[in-house]
Amino acid sequence: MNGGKEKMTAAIEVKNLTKTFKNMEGKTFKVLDNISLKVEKEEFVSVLGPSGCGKSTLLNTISGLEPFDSGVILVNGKPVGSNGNEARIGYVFQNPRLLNWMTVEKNITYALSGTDIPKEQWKGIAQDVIKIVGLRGVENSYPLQLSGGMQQRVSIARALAIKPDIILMDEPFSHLDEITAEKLREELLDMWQKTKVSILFVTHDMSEAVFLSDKIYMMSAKPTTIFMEYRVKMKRPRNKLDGSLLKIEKKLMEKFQKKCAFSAEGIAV
Amino acid sequence: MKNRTLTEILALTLIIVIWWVASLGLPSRVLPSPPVVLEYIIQDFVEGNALFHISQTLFRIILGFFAAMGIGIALGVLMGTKRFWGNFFGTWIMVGLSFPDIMWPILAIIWFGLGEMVAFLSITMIVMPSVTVHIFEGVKATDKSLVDMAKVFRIKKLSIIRRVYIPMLMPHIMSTMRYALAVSWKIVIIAELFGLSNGVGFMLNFWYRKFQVGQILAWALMFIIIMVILDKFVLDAIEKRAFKWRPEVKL
Amino acid sequence: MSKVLEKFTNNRLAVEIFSIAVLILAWWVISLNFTPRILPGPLFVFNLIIQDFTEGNAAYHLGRTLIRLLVGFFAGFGIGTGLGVLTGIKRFWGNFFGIIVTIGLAFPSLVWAVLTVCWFGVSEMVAYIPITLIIFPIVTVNIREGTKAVDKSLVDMAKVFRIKKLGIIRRVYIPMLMPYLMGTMRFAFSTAWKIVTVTEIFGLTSGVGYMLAYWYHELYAAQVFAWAIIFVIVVIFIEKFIFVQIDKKVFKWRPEAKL
Repeated sequence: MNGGKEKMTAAIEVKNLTKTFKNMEGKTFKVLDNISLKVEKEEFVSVLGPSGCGKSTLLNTISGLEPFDSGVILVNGKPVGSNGNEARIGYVFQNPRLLNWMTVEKNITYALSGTDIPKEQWKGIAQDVIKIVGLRGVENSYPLQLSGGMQQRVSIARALAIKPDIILMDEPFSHLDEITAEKLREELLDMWQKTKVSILFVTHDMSEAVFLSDKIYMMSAKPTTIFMEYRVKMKRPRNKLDGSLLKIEKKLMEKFQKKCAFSAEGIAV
Repeated sequence: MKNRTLTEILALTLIIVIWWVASLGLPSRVLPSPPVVLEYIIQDFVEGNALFHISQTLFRIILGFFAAMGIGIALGVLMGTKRFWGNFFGTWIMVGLSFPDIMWPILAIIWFGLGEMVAFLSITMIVMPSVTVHIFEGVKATDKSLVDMAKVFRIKKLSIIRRVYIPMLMPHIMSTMRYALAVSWKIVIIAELFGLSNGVGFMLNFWYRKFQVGQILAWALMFIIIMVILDKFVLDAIEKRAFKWRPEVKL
Repeated sequence: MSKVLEKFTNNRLAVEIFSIAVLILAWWVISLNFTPRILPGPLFVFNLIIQDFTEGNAAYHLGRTLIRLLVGFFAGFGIGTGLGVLTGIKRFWGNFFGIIVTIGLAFPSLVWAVLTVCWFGVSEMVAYIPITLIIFPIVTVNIREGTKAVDKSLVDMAKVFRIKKLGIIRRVYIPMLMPYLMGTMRFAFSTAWKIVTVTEIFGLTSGVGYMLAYWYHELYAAQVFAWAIIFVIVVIFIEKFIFVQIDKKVFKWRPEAKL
């Protein structure tokens, strides 16, 4: 065995990312200002910031949906361009964004049709991920027959099915009731540990970020930058009611409040 | 709902009653009574060749309808997705919508003489702009988020159009279909009146020249009944199948 | 170079002008292969139109068509609005007239025109009756939807503040119905336009429809084009200028929807 650690390529590496936007009157302003972050392989990393500060835009640029003005985005060491990105990116949105006219299984195989995974394997993969998210038996139902929580599970299953290099998650539990959300958070950690995928998770919920992540990047609005990186050194499995978790939340909250007067607004604790 | 059908039957009965009463006070050549008209209808089927005329008309409607829907949907999607084409064809459509309806049958006859082209050209040129506008509006109103989702999963453009865009547009396409069918019916009558030697429109003209109100009403009724059948049974059935994934909306 | 192209394709007015130019150009090129009897070119038709106004009596015919249109339109719109509000408020009448309206919508204008001639002989009624009968169901259905969609909470608010019934109708109900009224008006108007020319071929001796039929009998496509274009220009004028202006005044309280 080698002595030193091998330098592995990070799952996601963002360096000095800047994105500007020109409004109707022609004024330019920065939507993302010199953002840098890193998600190592198998890491669970959160970006924590108030609503409306550009967290979704960050994910959109990483996934290639939106262009950016300067900086570098590397997924698995390869740059993101509009057509050039070969890494497989799974994305779980705030809303399930399922195709209501397709069954659960078809929704998943449809995502597989965007990969080069051979068609014969699709049905098997779909059934596997449906099992992982705990939805066995629901394969032939239509999304509108399912509850919000179940729909979001299908969305997660879909992201897992394509055997992604990274999964981007945009406040996926913010539209669910707290009981369902809590359950899904635990299941998410379960799946993450089983599949060892790298996750970049965006949220405005402090306790969610502390509970789930290995590392938290704190984002502020106006200007939208990352002003701090924090390693959550607690062992897993974590207990939500653990006092040390609450201590961490308090510390981070103070950092936010120090950062700017209004930034505490929009952060849920 | 039971009440609704009951009220509808009540209304229909009332119309027939009013018609009947009115017909008693007027000479038969001005307003024949319902039974007389019914007799005409039966006559037209048994002795005349109503079936032939109706099938000719239906054939023309179907041809023109599909052409108009096909071109209209393709054009509407193009206009809705690429702003340049939206603006470019927008003026053409606006002009096309403003033409008087009878212009097309007239031009068709001058260019192609009497025959099937009169019906086909008229239906296509008149219905297609409306379809395009409806679909264009529908495309503009579609939710980008599902398309974005498919893009993130790197689905190819053609597949996105086929399996995301078009199903999203289905409600719009359905209502456009109903409208297009209704208009196609009206146009085919005009076209047949001008430039064809069979069909429902032709028969209407035939009896009009003889001032036979009874037969005119007979053919008009046949026409309406078939339209209602098409709408209620064919279109409704298509709608049920196309939307079987939608939960029942209880009224 | 491509920057200029990009600016052009994004400029709405530029593209619209470009598209009209392409249309006229294409027309001209196609017309070169045919005689004016069959497919006249734009210049020829343009001259013909001017001739129709100066030497012919195009203004007269246009006027007659417009009068018929307005009479039928207002009659149909009036009846339709009244019925629409009534059927929107009381569900029984809604269902009752619903089926009548469906039948009314199915009846082609041609049949109405034909029956009117049989019953009333050749007269202005041939234009008025079909237009009225075809428009009022459309208006009824639309206004009914509008009435049903009226926000009850606003009406209740007014009631709590003890505003008199007439006041509620004038200041709450009607403004809430305005979008439906306006939209329906435009649609009914354009429908009436399409119908009026069809009715004019049944025995009337004036009007745009009559002229179109006349030149059809002469098999003279150039004049058919000319009259069709006169028609189109008037329609577009009414649509773009009159309705847009009315829209602006009625809805000046609405913020501009920025695209």
